Amino acid sequence: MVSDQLDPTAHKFAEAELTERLRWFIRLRWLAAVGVVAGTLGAQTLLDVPVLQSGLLGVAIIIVAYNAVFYAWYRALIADGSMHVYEARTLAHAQISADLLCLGVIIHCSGGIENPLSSFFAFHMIIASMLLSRRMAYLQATLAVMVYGSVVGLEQIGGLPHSPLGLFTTGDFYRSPDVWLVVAAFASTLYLIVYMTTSITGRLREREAEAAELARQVAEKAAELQAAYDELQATQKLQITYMRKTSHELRSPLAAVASTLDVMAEGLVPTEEKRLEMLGRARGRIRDLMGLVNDLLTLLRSRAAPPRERFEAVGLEHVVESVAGLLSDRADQERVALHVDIPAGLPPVWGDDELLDQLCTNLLANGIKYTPEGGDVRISLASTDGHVALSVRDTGIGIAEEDQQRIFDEFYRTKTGRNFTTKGTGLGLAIVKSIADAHDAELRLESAPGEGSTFTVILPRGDNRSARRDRAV
Amino acid sequence: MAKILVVDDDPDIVEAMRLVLEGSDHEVATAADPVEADAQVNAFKPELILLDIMMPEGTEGFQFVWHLRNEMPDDVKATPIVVLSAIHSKVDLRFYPGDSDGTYDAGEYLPVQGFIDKPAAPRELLNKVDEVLAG
Repeated sequence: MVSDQLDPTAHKFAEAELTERLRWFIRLRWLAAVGVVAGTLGAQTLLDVPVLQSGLLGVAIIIVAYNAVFYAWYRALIADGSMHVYEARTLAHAQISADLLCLGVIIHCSGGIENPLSSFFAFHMIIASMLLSRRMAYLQATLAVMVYGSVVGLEQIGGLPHSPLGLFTTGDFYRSPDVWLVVAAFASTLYLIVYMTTSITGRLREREAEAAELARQVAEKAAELQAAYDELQATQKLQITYMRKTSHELRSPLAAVASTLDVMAEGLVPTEEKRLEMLGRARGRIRDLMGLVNDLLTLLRSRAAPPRERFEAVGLEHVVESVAGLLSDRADQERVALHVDIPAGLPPVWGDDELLDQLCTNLLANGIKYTPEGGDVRISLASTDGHVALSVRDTGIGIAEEDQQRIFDEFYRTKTGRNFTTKGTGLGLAIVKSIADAHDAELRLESAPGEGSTFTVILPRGDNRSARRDRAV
Repeated sequence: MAKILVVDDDPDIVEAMRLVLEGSDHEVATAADPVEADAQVNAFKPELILLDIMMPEGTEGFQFVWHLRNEMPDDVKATPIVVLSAIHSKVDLRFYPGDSDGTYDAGEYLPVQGFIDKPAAPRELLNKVDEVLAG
């Protein structure tokens, strides 16, 4: 059994078919009207069958008239671009009902019970079963049975005149109670047609819906694959850009050292003093190169899938104190005052102590590097709701608004920064960002040219994580 | 010998080239960026410019070539240029997109008289300089 309620997609197919078929109905009906006229004249003249010619021609005219109305109705429905399925159904019902009534009149005018063309009712049953709901198809079958039964019944009791055909039955068969056997057979044929057709159509609609659903899923999967592929390609492109940038950064100092050594090897350096100076510079370039490679390795380490299961509660105050201790000499050399501001009772953060050490080092070193003599660099910790904020504030050269986004890009150095000091790989802040990202930390920057910079990293607290950590282990 | 302007933002490269060129009795002036180069072209009136393309702000070297050839005084605008570049003759940075394999000849798409890979060995550099000066 197929339920009367098809699933929504199946309904959609039925609706689409219905709206498309409305026009087809109307076209066929013009032919039907011609067929009625031709049949009437043919029956009369060729076969010499006695039919109610005037009645049949009248019906043909009525069919043409109401078909014109239906055509106008149909045009009105499609005029606004979208036909509502409810309107389409109403139009289909009206057409089928009108046809059934006309067919009843035609049967009556051409022999009633004697006319074998009563089987034409079956066509409408098939159409109704395929395009309308099951309930509506049964309703149309009932209407057809009532029309046919009324014609036969009224002719039997004399309510309507019987016009005998005399082709297949004896002239007074219409008076026999046996006609009701024919009507019963007629009724069961129609109901069976409706039953069978709606069953098969329903199943087909469901299959169609399944196929459509499958197609939709395939399309969805294809889109997902395309997106994954695009992402992969973007990543690859990024990697290539990154490698190109890195190679360029490595090549420049190497080219300088190679040139210097070439000149020295060719004996083109005029004095011993000059030779020593150039050697010193070449060594400096090699040292810078070493620093660059180390920074690249640190960056890679912070980027490699962060070992979050190895994260633990880290007392940031110890990290900050140690980093500040290690950098105090550098601050002294640069004549920059270093301040450390750690409140008591600070909760730990959740992270990797080595990476956090690197983050503090880079931020503090960055502050010291870009602060002129006599300036201040302050590293401070503060506890906020669920987080610990690490801030490095300097009174240095500051960063222009337009550079504030790019400052965290690999190898990016601002023009003011480069003018202030040639030293720097452009990787320090990229490493800071990478480590902050690995810790789900928020990274903020407040700065203006000439007014110093404040970098703030807001790290998640680590004192409420022990349960998760136990599970992870 | 000739007056040569070396334009490169790397002071070590500039110094090495200066020593090589001076070793062959050329007179050398240097510039670290296009602004300095502009001033030196007018003041020093070089007979040849060795120009680096990759300067701090990107490929300003190309703009400098255009600037020299189009906007500078007539007595200097035709100064021969040899482009020094870490971008080799085969890179995907092309002067002309239709060029099939990315290679190019001097002057074909950029109005310069020669290219030389950076870092250039001293002999190589001197050969190129002689070649271009000989015209």
